[in-house]
Formats: sequence, structure tokens, C-alpha cells
Amino acid sequence: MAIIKFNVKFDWKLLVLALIICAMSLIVLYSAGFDFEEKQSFSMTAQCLNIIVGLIAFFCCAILSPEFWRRWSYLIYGFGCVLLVLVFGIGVVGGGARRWLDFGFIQLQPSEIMKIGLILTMARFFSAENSPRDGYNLFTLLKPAMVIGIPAAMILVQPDLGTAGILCLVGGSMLLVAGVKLRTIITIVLLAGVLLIPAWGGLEEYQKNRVRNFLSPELDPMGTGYHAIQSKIAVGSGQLLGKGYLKGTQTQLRFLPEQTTDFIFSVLAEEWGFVGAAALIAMYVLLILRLCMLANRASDGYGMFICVGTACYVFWHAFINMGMVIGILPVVGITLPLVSYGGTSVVSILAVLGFAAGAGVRRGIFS
Amino acid sequence: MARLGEIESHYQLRIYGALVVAALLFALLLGRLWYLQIIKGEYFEDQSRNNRIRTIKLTGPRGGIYDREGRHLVQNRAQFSIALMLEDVVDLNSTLMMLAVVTGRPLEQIKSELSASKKKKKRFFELQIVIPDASSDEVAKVKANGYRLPGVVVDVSPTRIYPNGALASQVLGYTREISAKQLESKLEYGYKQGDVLGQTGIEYSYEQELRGRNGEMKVEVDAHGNKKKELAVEPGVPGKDLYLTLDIDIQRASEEALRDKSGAVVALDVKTGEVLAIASAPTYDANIFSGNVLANDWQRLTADPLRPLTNRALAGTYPPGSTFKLIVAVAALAENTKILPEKGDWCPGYFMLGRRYNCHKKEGHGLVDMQRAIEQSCNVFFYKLGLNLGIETIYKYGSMLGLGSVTGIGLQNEESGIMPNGEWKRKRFSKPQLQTWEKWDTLSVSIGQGFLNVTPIQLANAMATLVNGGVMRRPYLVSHVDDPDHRTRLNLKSTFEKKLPIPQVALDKVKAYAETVVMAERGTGKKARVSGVSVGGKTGTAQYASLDKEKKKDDHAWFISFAPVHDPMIALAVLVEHGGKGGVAAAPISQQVMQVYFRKKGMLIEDPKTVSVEGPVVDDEEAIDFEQEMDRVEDYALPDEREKRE
Repeated sequence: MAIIKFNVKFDWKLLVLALIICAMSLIVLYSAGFDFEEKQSFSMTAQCLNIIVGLIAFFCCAILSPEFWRRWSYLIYGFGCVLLVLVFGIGVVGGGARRWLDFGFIQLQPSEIMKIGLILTMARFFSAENSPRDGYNLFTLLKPAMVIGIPAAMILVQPDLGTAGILCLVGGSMLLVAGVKLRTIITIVLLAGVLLIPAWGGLEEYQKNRVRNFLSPELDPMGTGYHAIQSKIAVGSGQLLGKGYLKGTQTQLRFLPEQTTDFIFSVLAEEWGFVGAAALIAMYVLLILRLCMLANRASDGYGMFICVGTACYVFWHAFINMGMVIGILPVVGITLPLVSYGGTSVVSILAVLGFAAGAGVRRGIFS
Repeated sequence: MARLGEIESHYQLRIYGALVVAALLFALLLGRLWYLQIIKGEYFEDQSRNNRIRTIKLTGPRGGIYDREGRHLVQNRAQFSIALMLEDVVDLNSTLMMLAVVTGRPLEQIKSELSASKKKKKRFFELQIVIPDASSDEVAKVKANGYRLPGVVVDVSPTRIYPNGALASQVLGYTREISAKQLESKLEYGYKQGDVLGQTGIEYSYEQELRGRNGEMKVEVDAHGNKKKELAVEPGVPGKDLYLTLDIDIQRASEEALRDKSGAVVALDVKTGEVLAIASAPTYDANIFSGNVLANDWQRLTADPLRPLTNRALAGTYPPGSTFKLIVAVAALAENTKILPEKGDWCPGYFMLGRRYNCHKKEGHGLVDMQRAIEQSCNVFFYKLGLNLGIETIYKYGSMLGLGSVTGIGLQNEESGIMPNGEWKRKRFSKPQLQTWEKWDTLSVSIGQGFLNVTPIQLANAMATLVNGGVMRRPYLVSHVDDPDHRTRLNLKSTFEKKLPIPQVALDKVKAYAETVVMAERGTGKKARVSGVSVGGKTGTAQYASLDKEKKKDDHAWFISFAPVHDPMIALAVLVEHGGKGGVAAAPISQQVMQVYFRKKGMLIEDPKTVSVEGPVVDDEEAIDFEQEMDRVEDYALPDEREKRE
């Protein structure tokens, strides 16, 4: 069998949904990065480029056959692990953590590649012939748990609590779809309760502070709680219809931290109100529904798990990001998929969507 | 390939289950959004309208500058300005109008300041300054009418003040708000818009020591912009204080002596290399740079043909004239006494080398030895001496004494001048016929003319070195830096010291000859005498060579001196541009400066009768035939000018 096989078809509806979210991103970014002196928005222009690169990645991933990607899954996972190790040695420090690799022409966040690698690997793993049909038990669970745990641990010590959490959530969700025995789940929950208490001691001081501030942000209004308060003011003051495009005072007066990246949702909520925020959530719901439909349609277990993993990726990213912006989750550095400014984030999510778009239409064409 | 088969439905079930969980979590988000935006929307709307946190800049004042006795040369004063916090202004037009009424300033002026300020500031919640130089009266009026002026704030920031006015203004330099260009080039030093940057002089060279670091304060304010609570304070750090080696009294004496002239005075402490005074005239009052610089003041300063902003002591280069004869004499005495016409030489009033080179005394000095040649500044004697020595030997001693290279005093724009030799000329001119060093070039240099060009500070330092047993020091201006915060003192005294290979005999002889210039009856520098102290020196009258014969001006007058002769403490170089004869125009300035110096030392005898400086000065000093010298200048300058144009 030829390894490289081209898909002639992919799910274009998924692409349309993604592009609508991208368009919303550009509109919000124009405002968030707007410079009243220059009368332009650098962030939006740069994001256009990110999206174009992301679309190329999308088509690459969609057009190559799932069989091709299945074979390379473990290698991509391994490559991601190697990059994570490299980060310790030659990583670039940004914001107090060592998360980036600098290749001169491009700066890369290996944890994003790791997310892709994890989805591909878990999909191959769960769709393998020898996977337990009646659900994983504590013993068979060990292997997938390690596949998730090793990169998650490496990311945690960078330190990047948010991304490590995302990895566990995406992997864990896929695992649950693959099936875990009920008594195993109960055992794990109990075990986790026992282990969490010593784990608190291993957190960095700023991570502890974030958790503490999440519980009561008013304690330290100028410190770490500042983000949460200002973001809540921005979202709340948007009310039903928003303050109007380019008229959000929190946004334009730069009260918001990282308003083009992690806190982009508060810009949307301030300027477009509840209506705008709900519209974006609706778009995510449609995207996730479409991914689940593709999962059901997929020709094989691998394709199905790719779609499920992608849906988990989109969902957890979106949920955690919006949750932290509106103050129901602690502030962790998690981007809003397809909306936050940032090359690595946009390209990797479009690539993952590409896998799903390719994997979801294979039924009955070649097999 | 594995088909899903019978377990397919299990997966489907779980996917539906996951969808339900996801839908519930999204519903939670929507619920929270509803709570924040719809239920508490008005509350947050209110919060955002008066977002109550403001960032206030805390200025770290710039360090002061003091003279050697701890007297203020530069200090800070509070500059009041009236500013707007636009976000707190209810109705801009009526507020501006009210402000104009309260302060009595024209409304147009306030409006134009506001638009200028708006152009500058990039960040929000920064003050927009509308009256940059508010008087205390205006400040009081604004404060009294505060309730009618919401959003109007009185801002206090330190600004530079020069308590001595124009004193040492070129040395001290001035500061101005950092320009956009400088902001870019000084990025790594952490400057922000609105910061003050030293632009010239000490203010420029010691910027990193003097500058204060700004802090900031985050405060909670009420709806009227009044401070309610300080949330976080990062205090400003004041700059360090600079203690100079300058002596205000000597500096003032130098500048007063130069009043209504253009020129320079440099006074050095012979034993340490400390600069006691650097005066450059004309000067300017540095206070025009404190606060707002008026456009016409700046225009006037930069357009002035006499260039008051230039520090002539460092950046002005002039031929040293006959003062250079001391150096030629030292070279001759040090190199080989046999080339000296020891017994004396006959000066017929001219010297023939291809053509006639005149001595300034047409009828000639008669029989002169080195002592008389220096005392009466005979050119013919030095023409011969120079030819015997050759240019490379003259160059060796001239450059050894620091001529033609910067002293490294640490101020910007110091010029190196030119100490020419054969190699210099080869490099300087591109046409082969101009590249060879000719004998007549040596003649000119022997009497301090021709290609030779020096700065006053170079000559002062050469003078100090000659009378200091040949120990060369680097003149320095800053003695130490005090850090008011950490109570530390950083010593910046220059310890540079170099013993030049000149025999003591040669130095002693030149010193003795220089004494006769001032103390002997026929000496050219009689007007530099100071009662109670023996003074040595040398006059110089430097040819001012202008190609434009219409603009013919007087020669530059030089006088370099030192005192007391037996244990020199102070060395001086005085230059008066177009002053005429050195003994007439420059020597009295040396006298005035030294009187102040020795009065402070308690060595001056205050009895006017003993001061015999009013006696006749030999009038026939060193005026070389101008026309003849002009021809020589044209020989070189004109072809060279043409080269440049090509």
C-alpha cells in the first residue's frame, strides 16, 4: 500500500465554520490592537498572515490520507517530546517561563506540537486491534496514562500549568470516549484526592497565587488579581449589546492585560456585549457538533478518534479561556482557539482541524 | 482495517454523553455572561466609566552639580505646570474657558498647548499639560477654584536651574526633553517619553550618573480624580550629585576678563591636572533651557555667528603662534645643544629661504641668544632653530606634549587640532606635488603658524607639563560622584600620569626663559605680572588667515602662563579671537585670573604701587608680514579647496 495517498475530498463545512471564527477574530483583533495614533492595527495584519499559514497547514493535513498520518503518529509524538527536552536547554525565556524555541526565522512553542502529537498518538493507540473492547481497567490504563503524563509533566515544569492541564484534559476526554471501566474511574478519583494535597506543595508561588486569587481576586487588586478584576469590568460593562466597535473603554484605554492574546474574549464581550459573546460560543458549539458528526461518519477507529480529539482540543481551549476571562476559572495562559492573536496557536489548531476534515469523509471512498 | 462493528454504538453513546457535558459547561459560561453583562451590567458599566485606578509618574530628580568647594553650579527647582486629566474633564470647552478666566491666559494659548501635548502623549491617563510654566500665583488661583475645574491638576516636576546664570554654561551643558530620535537610540537605557536628557557638556557626558529614575504610583481615585488610596508605590530614585574641579571664583574671573570678547581661558592645577576654570566667550545663560525653551531664544543662540554654544576651549582650533616657541626651544635643548647657536645669532630682521621671511621687527633684533629670542619673540632665531631640528623632531616634542590630539577631558566635541609632520601632509593632500614636506613648511611651524592648529586646553596642558618636571597629566573636570541614597562616593579623579623623556636641564632653562617674558623689562608679557608672585609665560599672536581679503580681521591673541615660577601651582592658556597682540590683549586676562587665584591662596600682595603692569609693552611683537603669509596660505588652501569641490 502506498504510504502517501491523497484525499480528494475533505469536509468543507468544517472549514467554513473555522473561517467564520477566524473572521470574527480579525474584527475583534482590529479593535484590540488598534493604535489611535497610527490609525491601524498591527495585530490584525499579522493575524491575517497567521491564518494564511494556518490554511496551508489545514490543506496539507486534510489532503494527505489518514493512513499516512496514522503511520507517522508516534514519530510526531516523539518529535514533540524531543523539542520539549530542547526547551530546557536552549529555550527562550518569556514571562518567567521557558516555553519557546527560537529558530531564528521562527519562534516555536513545542507544547503546541505536543498537543497535535498527543491527539494523533492517542487516536492510533485507541484504534489499535488489541485495545480493550470492554473498557480500560487500572492496569491497561497505565500505558495511555504515561503517554499523556510524560509530556504533561515536562510542560508543567516549564512552568506552564495551563497547557499541561489542557494536555491532560484532551487526553483524558479521549480516554473516556475510548471507554474506562466505572470502578476504575471511581478508584482514580479517590486516588487523585489523596495525591492532590501534596501536589499543592509542588506548585510555583505564582501558580499558588493564581489559584488563591481565583478564589478571591479582590485580595490583591494591583497584583495578580488585576487581570481578573479588569477583565470582569470589561465583560460586565458590555451589557446586552456592547459599547460599540472601537468604543470599549477598557480595551482602548489598555486596562486589559494581553488583550490581543489570552484576554481577547473580554474585548469581544465589551464591544459586542452578550450578543457578540453568545454568538462566538454558538460558533464553537457548531464547530464541535460538526466534529462529532464527522466522528460518527469516520470510516475507522483512527479517523473517529482524530475527530473526537480535535473536538476535545477546541472545547477545552475555548472553555478554559472564556472561563478565566469571565472569572469562573483561574487565570492560566490558554488561548481562545482561532481568535487569540498568535502564529503557533492559529496554525496548530487549523492543522488539527485539517486532520479531522480529512478523516471524517473517508467512509466508502477508498475502503 | 478494523471496522467499528458492534462496539460502534458504544462509542457513539459516549460521544453523545461528552456532547451533553460540553453543552452543560457552555451553558455555564452563558449563565455567567448573563449574570455579568445583564444582571450586573450597569454596575460594571459604572465601574468602567470611573475605572478608578490611575498611574501617576513619580519623578526621580536629576543630580546636582557642584564646584570644588561644594557650591551649586546646577540645581533643581520645582516647576509647576497646570495639566488636564482628560478622562475626568466633564466638558472640555467650558473647562478650558474657565481655566483661561482663572489664570488670565489667552484661551488660544491653552488650546494650542493642549493639542501639542495630545500629539506627544501616547498612553491614556497621562496628564495633558496645558500651562507648562505656571507661576505660583496661577497655581494658587487654580487650586482655589478647583471645584469649578474638574479634571484640572497642578503638576510639579523638577527642572534645572543655573544659579550663576551664564557661568560655565558651555561646560555644564543643558538638558531638554528627550526627542523621538534620541528615544529610539537610547532605547536600552529605559528612557520614556517626557524624560529629560542631557544634551551637551557635563549634562551630556555624565547623563547616566546624573539622571534620576522615575517611579510610578498606582492610586485609586474618586469620580473627580481625587486620590483616595495608594495601591502600589514604586518610588523614583534621585540622580547622583557631581562634584567638579571647577572653582566658581576663578571661572567667574576668567569669564569677566573675557567679557565682550570672544575667546577662551583654561586654568589647570599643575600638580593634579584638575581643571580650575574653562571659560569660553561669548557665553549664554543656561537658564533659558530650564522649563520651556522659547523658540526665538533657541533661534538666536544657534544663528549667532559668534556661536555662543561652542566651547572654544575644547572645540576651537587655532595656530598657537609664538607660544609654540617654548616647545621648539625645549625640543632644541633636549635633543642636541650643539645645533643651538649658543653664543647667539644675528637677526637682521629677515630670513632668506627662496624668498624673504620677515621677522616682526623690521630692523632686526641684532644679536640674540635663546633667552632673548624667547623674551622678545624673535622669529629669525626660531626659523633657523626649526630648520636645524627638522619637522619630525618638532613633531616629536609637540605631539609628546599633547598637541594634535584630544586631552580626553571627557566632554563631547573636543577637537584634536593638527600637529603636522611629513606623514600628515602625505595623507592630507591628494595631489603629489603638494604631498612633500617643504622647508618653508618647517619655517611656519617653527613659529607656531602654517598647518599647526591647537586648542586652548592642549596649550594649557602643555604649559603645565613643561613646568611640572615633564610629568604629563590628563586634565579632568569631575572629582567625584555622590550617591545621596546609598551614601557612597565614587572617586573620578584622573590618576593618569606620564613622565616625558625630557631632561630636567632643558625644562629648567625654558622655565627661566619664560620667566623673563613676564618679568624682564623688555619682555612681551609684562602685563601678566602679579604682585607678590613670580609669573612665567609666553605671548603669541596667531595669524588669522582668511582667504577673503575683504574680511581681514585682527590676529588671534594668545598668552600661556604659569606661576609661581619656582613651584608652579597654576597653568593658564588665554586666547582672544581677533584680539590683536598677545602681550596686549591676552596677558592682562592671565593677570586678572591669577590675581583671583593667588588672592584665595593668600599669596597676593594687595599694594597697587608694586604692581608695575602699566609700563610700556614692547610694541613690535611678532607681526609677520601679512601679505606674504597670505600667499603661503593660498598655495595650499586654494588647490585643496579645489580638490574638495572635485
